[in-house]
Amino acid sequence: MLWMLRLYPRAWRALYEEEFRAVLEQQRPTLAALIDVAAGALDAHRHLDERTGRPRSPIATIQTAILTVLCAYAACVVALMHFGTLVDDGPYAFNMAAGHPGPLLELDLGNPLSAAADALAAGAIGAALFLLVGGAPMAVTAWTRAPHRRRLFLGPPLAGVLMLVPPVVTLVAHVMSNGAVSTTAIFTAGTLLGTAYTVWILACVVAGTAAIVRALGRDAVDERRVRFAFLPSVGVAASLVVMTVATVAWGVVAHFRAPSLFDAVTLQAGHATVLWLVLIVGLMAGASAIAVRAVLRSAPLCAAFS
Amino acid sequence: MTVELSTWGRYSEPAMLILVSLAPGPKHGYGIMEDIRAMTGTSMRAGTLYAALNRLEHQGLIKPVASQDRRKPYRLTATGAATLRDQLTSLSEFASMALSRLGAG
Repeated sequence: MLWMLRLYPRAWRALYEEEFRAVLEQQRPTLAALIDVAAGALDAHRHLDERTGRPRSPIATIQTAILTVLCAYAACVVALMHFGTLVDDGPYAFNMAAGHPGPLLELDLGNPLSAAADALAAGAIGAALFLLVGGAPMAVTAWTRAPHRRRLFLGPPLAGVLMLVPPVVTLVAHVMSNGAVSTTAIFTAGTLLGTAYTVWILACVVAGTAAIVRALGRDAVDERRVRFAFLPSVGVAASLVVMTVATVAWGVVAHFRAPSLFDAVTLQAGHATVLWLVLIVGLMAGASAIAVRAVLRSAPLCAAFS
Repeated sequence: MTVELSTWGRYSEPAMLILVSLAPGPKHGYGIMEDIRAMTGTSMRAGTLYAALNRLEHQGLIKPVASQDRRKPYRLTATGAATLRDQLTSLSEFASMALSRLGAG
């Protein structure tokens, strides 16, 4: 059980390691005790200052909540990208062309499927705008206050470029092999290549988000900017909830109005299967819940400042 | 000056138990765990104990006592004692009110 000490932040260990070790040596290593130590380590990472090992100041807690919302937004972007593959080239598109369920991004409130898709688009645009309003001042401050972290701002664009590498390589291979290499193989979910590309996209998004979170981390942003960014972060969290509800509504309406959309037996991109939609909704719902929880927990702290 | 423990979420009850345990005199981590077990019949585990100890120490409710042993004892500060007194008074008033209601029913 002593190995679990390594789960704690270094600053915390500098304060408590010796005595904590003595306590652990006298405690029976039950599953409940292991879970409790793991929960304690998680709590230490979330609530303690990395340098001092002491509880974070209220403003640092608000900043953590804002960055949590940013991470939730990144997760929803991944979900939205996969939702796009369900509707862009699949049976939904064919049905649209045949005039059945209605256009995807055209305001048509009489058509519930279109209205749900419009609500999803509105949520996505709203989240991006709120992110820009709250995040831009933080980014500018971090850029000027922490020059040593400026290269971290390259993370998101670099991740975007890296995401495009597999399709470009596939396209080059397709041309070089006179069509022997398929250009759609990496977009086909459920296959080895398709799964590998999904994992690659996830890794790029995680790396890009981690870079920007680190760039906007403690000391890089002043209190005023953090307080300013809190309200937009509430807007981002609310937009993520709208996106999740709209996606669920789209799925329910599509299931009843155009059941053929869910006939696909494979997870090929562009074919809406119930499982694929459930995975997308699950990711969105989880991310939205984390974002809402973060802003709700920080709201009393933010109110105390005003 | 006292501290409002009820804002500490799931660590408010462990923090209160630690303050009660330290009321008679200094104890180290394992001593606190044993004392709480004797007082309440339930055990407080190491992860919870040190998460609560960290908060109590930071808020100035407890203080480590100098020791040669690697097991560092903690003692209650004046703020800690005042906070504990406040919490216990509130609890006592609530218990009296609840008992009187029970009697009235």
